[in-house]
Amino acid sequence: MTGNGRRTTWTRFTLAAVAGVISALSLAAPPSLEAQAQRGGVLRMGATIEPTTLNHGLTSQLGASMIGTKIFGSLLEYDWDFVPKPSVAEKWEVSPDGLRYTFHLRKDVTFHDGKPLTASDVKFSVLNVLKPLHPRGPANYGAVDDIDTPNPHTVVFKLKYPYAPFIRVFQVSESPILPRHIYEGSDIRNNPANAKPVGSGPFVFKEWVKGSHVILERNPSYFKKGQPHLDRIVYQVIPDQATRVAAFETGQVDLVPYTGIPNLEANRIKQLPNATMTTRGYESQALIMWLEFNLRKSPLSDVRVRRAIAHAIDKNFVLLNIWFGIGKVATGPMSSVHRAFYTPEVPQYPYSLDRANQLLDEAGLKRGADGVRVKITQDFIPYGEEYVRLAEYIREQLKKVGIDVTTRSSDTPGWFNRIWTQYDFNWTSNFVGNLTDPSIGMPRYYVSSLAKQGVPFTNSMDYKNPEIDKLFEQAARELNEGKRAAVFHQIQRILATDLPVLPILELQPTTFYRKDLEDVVAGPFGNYESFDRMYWKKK
Amino acid sequence: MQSLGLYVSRRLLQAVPLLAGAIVLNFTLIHLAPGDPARTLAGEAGSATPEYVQQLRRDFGLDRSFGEQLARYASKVVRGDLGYSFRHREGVVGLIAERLPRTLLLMGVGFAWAVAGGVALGVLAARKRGTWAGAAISVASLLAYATPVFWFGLMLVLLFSVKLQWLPTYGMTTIGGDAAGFGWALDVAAHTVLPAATLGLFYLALYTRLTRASMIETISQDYVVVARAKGLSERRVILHHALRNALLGVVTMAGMQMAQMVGGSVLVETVFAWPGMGRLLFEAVAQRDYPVLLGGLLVSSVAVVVMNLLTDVAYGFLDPRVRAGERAA
Repeated sequence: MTGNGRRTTWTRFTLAAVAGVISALSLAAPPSLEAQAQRGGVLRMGATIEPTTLNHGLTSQLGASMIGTKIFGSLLEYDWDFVPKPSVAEKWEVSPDGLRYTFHLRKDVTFHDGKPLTASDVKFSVLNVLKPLHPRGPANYGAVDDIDTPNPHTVVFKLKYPYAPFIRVFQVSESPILPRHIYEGSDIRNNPANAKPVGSGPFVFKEWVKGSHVILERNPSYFKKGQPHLDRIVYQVIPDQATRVAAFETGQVDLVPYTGIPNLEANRIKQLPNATMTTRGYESQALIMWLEFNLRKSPLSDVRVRRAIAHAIDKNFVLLNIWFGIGKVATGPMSSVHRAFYTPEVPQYPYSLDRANQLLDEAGLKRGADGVRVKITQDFIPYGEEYVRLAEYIREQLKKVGIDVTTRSSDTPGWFNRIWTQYDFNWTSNFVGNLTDPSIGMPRYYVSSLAKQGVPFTNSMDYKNPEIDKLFEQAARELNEGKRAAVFHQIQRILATDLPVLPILELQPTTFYRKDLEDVVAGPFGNYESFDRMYWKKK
Repeated sequence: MQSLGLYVSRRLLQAVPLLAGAIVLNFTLIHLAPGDPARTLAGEAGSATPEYVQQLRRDFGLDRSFGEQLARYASKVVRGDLGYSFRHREGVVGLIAERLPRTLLLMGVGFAWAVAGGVALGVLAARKRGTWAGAAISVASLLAYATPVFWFGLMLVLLFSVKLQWLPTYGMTTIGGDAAGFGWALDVAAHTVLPAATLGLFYLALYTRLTRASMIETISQDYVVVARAKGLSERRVILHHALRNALLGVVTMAGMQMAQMVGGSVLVETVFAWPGMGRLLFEAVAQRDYPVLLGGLLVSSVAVVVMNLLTDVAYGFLDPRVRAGERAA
């Protein structure tokens, strides 16, 4: 059984050899004094999901986004409060009426094939790819009327109407800049470059073995001098939860993103000597976990019944016993991440079985001889064990107030079909992001004109409220932040009163990583940041 | 030998309508499942619009009628084209060609250890009948027979990877290790041990029990008694006279089960993150990626036909009476 001992030693030897060659090469250029971060090393990510493509300009899928964000560049980056910072764009101006956004690009940015990145690449990416083909294209770029490129280093976005969240859409996870010379004139969705991407970001694509892994190498001509620090990123797909935990425990992977280590194991794993857990870096998603009700059918069409269910669920219990304390109890339909717009001052439904019973009585649901008021089915999102347990908890709680619940389970396509195509449900658990700005993440769930049959993660409830429609439009176009906040507070109060969805938790996904890895979570986009600052601390 | 050639070609001809039936049946069953690939992909993307879903449906040809879709698919299969994966945006033939050898490696090693180990343990158990060793083998094989595959796999990982750190936890190679030649082979071998052991365990237990039972029966037969009476060594009696007959039952089972192993490989490939065909097919179900699923099922059907044929041929070698029967027929 020394075979594996040899294997491991051998791997270390190879890494040492690679590192040796690289440090020999870097002797030529002495490191700058201000660079505290150390060069070198490999980052091995152990992820749950395989990318569907490596061009995340076509999809917001998790796997594609986690890899593409390292390969492509973007106009802007953001600090923890979503305030823009320069990236490919070194300066920018917004006209006072909010209709013209002018970006001045750096002149030293090249794609990995050596061609320069210019304004025409930005224009092509937005008008030919992101706006028409990306699932969030309409939300991000719907207001864009046209783009001017007066010279190769200036891009001017002209908007049809002011769009308040517009300055927040230029992060690499939403808006990668694609090489026009590779995509122009081709069938963009089926371009071979989608599997062998050419970007301008800190890491260069090396190989993708489907079902197994993706390897990225350091981009030596990255426009931020001295970055990135890592030599290589290996993104590995480990579908089984228990195996993923074992892989992190045995040191075969260095970083496990997006709750790849289940909350059930989190407390044990984070106490391992070389492990760290964080819930930061998911602020850009601002996830809310909720129950969404089908308002088309009795008895959920009666708001008193929805409120009764709200009173019957102890959110704290759910947080502590099902999510093992990781996350936050939700007070309303907006995540508290959006500090400028969030308010807890909305109608609350504290845990009270008495109140629940009273409301059900008022709604005319009388108990039968067996104590049952009504028999009903529930569905749950098939995205993990927590949701099965949540469904069990809800069934037990509602039994106490006379609602006899049967839980139905289905796989993901079946669940999409049932909730958004057939509308054949009473309620289902779900989680949805408010994203970088509530005007980007929220309207699809509440604005009546956006309820489209057959499209998952939109208004399944049949919630229609003309006032809400108007307020969301106002929020999107209001440029004054104080006035915008007032509109959002109004929206939150109405949604908490009407209760088309019952918010339960603000989810906080976890990232696990090695203690000697630094600058892992560089901003609110977390694993969707470019990783150009991450480095290994030498012992 | 000529009769063998004729026999094989006749059997292959008979397989054609069988495979055609399998294609139509699979196609129909898959389309009966709720949900469709466009909406599934759109859902995975998180925030899609109706235009996005429509575009995908058109792209995938899902806006056509069921009959039209089936006809188009069948005409492509006849020309050796298994279609285009919705999810991977790549030809199905290429996807399967890339994954199949990996699954065959896993199955081959798992199967070899199941048959070799099972037969050896079975013979031993039959010979040691009534002793503690024989009883131990019987009990152990019964336990292994009843153990869920994934649980056994996880226990192996916990013991050999997490506790002892002898073997890697998952994958087929050390990713990012640029080994070549012998080093690479060694690396793959180290990665193969746990998943192959897991995959083969159930069958090992089965063949142990099967071999034991048929050995016990065979040993008591007259011709074995005669062989012993002739003064042949015990070793020769067991291996040449008894085992050869006892193996017939094992070969029958093994031939049928080789195809079932594809099912087992789904679990094993998931637990060990093995980038093989079992996982490809399993994920295709979860994604409603019809072309990949249909292509994989077709390849499995072909494998079943071929394995059954090989089993029949193997009979002939083990038992001359079967060959004689063929000639007479």
